[in-house]
Amino acid sequence: MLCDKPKGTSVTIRVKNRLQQAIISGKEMNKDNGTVKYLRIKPKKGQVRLINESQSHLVKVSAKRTQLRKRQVGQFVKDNSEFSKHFFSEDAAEHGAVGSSKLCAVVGSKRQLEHEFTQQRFSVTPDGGNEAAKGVLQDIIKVKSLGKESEQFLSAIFSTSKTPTRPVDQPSAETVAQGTPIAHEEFPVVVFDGANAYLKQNRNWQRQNRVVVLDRTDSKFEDAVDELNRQFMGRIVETEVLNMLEFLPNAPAGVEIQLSEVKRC
Amino acid sequence: MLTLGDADDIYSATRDCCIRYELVSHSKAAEFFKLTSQVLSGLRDEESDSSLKIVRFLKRLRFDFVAFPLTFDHILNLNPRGCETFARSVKQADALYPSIANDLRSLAGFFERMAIEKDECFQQKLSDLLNADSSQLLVFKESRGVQQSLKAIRALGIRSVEAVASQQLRQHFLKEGLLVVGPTRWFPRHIFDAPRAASITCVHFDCVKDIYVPEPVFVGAQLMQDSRFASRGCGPTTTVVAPEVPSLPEAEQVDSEILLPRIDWTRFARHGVHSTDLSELTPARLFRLIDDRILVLEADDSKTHIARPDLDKTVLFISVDEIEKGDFVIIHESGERDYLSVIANGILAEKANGHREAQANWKRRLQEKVQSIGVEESIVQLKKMGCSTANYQNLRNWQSPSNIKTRDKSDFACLLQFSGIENLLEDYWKWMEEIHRAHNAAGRYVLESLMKQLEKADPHQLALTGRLDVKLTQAQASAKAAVRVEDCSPGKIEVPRSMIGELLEPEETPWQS
Repeated sequence: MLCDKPKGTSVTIRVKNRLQQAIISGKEMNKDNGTVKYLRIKPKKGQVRLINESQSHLVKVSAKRTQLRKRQVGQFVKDNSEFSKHFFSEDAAEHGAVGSSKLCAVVGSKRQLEHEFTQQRFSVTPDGGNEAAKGVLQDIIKVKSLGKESEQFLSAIFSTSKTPTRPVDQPSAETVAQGTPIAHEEFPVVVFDGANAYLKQNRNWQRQNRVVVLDRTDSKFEDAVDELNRQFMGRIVETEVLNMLEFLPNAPAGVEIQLSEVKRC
Repeated sequence: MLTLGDADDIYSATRDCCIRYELVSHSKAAEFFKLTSQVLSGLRDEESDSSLKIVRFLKRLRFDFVAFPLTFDHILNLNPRGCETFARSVKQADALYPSIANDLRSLAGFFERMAIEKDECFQQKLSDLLNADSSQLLVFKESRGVQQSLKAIRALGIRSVEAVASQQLRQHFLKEGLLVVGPTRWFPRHIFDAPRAASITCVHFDCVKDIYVPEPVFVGAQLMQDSRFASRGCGPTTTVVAPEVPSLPEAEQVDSEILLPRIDWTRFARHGVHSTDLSELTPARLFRLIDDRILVLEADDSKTHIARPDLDKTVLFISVDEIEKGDFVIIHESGERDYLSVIANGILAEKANGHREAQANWKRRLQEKVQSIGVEESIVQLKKMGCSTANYQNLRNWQSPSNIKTRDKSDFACLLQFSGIENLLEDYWKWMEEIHRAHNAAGRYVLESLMKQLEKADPHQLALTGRLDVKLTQAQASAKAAVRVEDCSPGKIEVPRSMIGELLEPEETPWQS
């Protein structure tokens, strides 16, 4: 019987009155009674087909061995740009190229952030180097929605106006096809771009380390400062935080940085 | 959108910004403030309509006197209705306010003398400064008297003078110099902390107490003795040059904060509520517009169109609770107030009358039933019928004329059953859905119209005047405008339902004493 044949068995399959060579690439089982629900048939050309019992007459074991395409069609790992190699160490840059991880969430105006991450060009001159490498912030921070589906990502943008999504416990086929929504709780660090983003979304990110970037000309600047000062007055451990401050660069003239540790929720 | 390159240009040009003061000596300014303060003190405990109007007039007059470089007669002309009210009050002073009648008459006489003298010292000072550097732009606290002020300065021979609104100083904007008219404490701090000019000159009367001090905003810098440990950075880099001419002794100066017009929202709530029938009260938010009128909009789930020209000319349909200072709201100048319904009725065409009658009918029946058995019992009965969303707030909304239908048909069925007209369910639900779709289409039309007109509007004039006349051709015979919100009530205020959508005249609003 077909369902007893092992993976890799050469078969022919009739598709639209044409015979195609294929192989059995797997089985899907019924959870209730352990019987075979579908056979996965992978033809030389075209997509994988799921064949159930009623369609099994379309598939016959073939005496002729089926060879799959010699040419590999896979996903290229994007070469790291010179820009990110110069910005990070080469090892760190390579890590970002081969694996995705959720390092940083950015909350703000999606349109504005997308523009800043993809349109504003920067250049980095390595120590001892002569030639500057040019690139955009997306090369470094690798926002999921701004790269291609196949590219690795390190960050995600969350809109100010929307509540971030909860983790999807049982993703449906549609969700998987569209891309499972990223659970915001999986990010250790969140950056709030602007007073509005911070004031509206701060309560949704209480368990993360938070970086708040404020513009003095923002209409809600003072409200955000009041809230940050209020949190600062309720700060706890100081010693470790103060040590961290020494590693921060000096603020440019006119820029202020405040650091504090607050009680974890 | 402000790019990093733009920000870098601004930062480089303004990191060493210097603020200078140019004080104007007006022969009668100190006396003016002293006499008005005496009258305002005398009226502090008065709550009558006429006394509130006098308080408002005097506070507005004091503010305009400092805010606009105009002769005193032109200052009075900015508020002709207020002048009439004041004149009437002076005539009736002995009867209405015997304790301060003499002060009122002295003040009125003083105003007459000031109006006759036409002292041009303020605009002359600005004219001299512009002569020295014509590239400077004027910045005013409010838009009301800007055009008259520019006209007065041009009359002194400065043809090319221009003004800019403080809202424009948030975006990509960079000038050689700014002339800020009025004390620094009137203006948003970012004008001085994150300046958009290499030099700023503040011009105001020498009897107004004001000083700008650049300081860090974070408490960490102020609290910790060693500022290395909690924060970095030393705050704004703006430097301040003390005025060359020493100002008057402190005892003779008036605090600039006191001169700012502020509406007493809590008194407004007490003053504005006339109804004794509590079931008619509804939560609202109040907005002071650029022309000092107050717009009353229903809070709690109610939505309206607003424009945010500063944010790339965005037009939004948002909850009333989210409206902020600087947003442009649509007001009706004449004709039908509820423009969405007018447009929706046009979309419904011949069906409009029948559908609206049906809408009015089920709401009337519902109100009658609620009034007969009470709100609490109504909610209990509705829940028993299966209306899971029945609560105090929703029941109030369902009775409101602006509400069209419930979200679910099953809840609507409960309401009709409760009201005794369940036999009309299918027709009514279908008609309410058609009204709802028409309103959605009307909303989209208004959004698109606003966006198109906003695209064509001169952004500089829009920022300066705070007003855009809006044409909605489908809202027949009604004139609309998009007007900037200058101030919002801090929370919700209970007002009679009949006030929703009203535009209250400035004379009707109480001001903080």
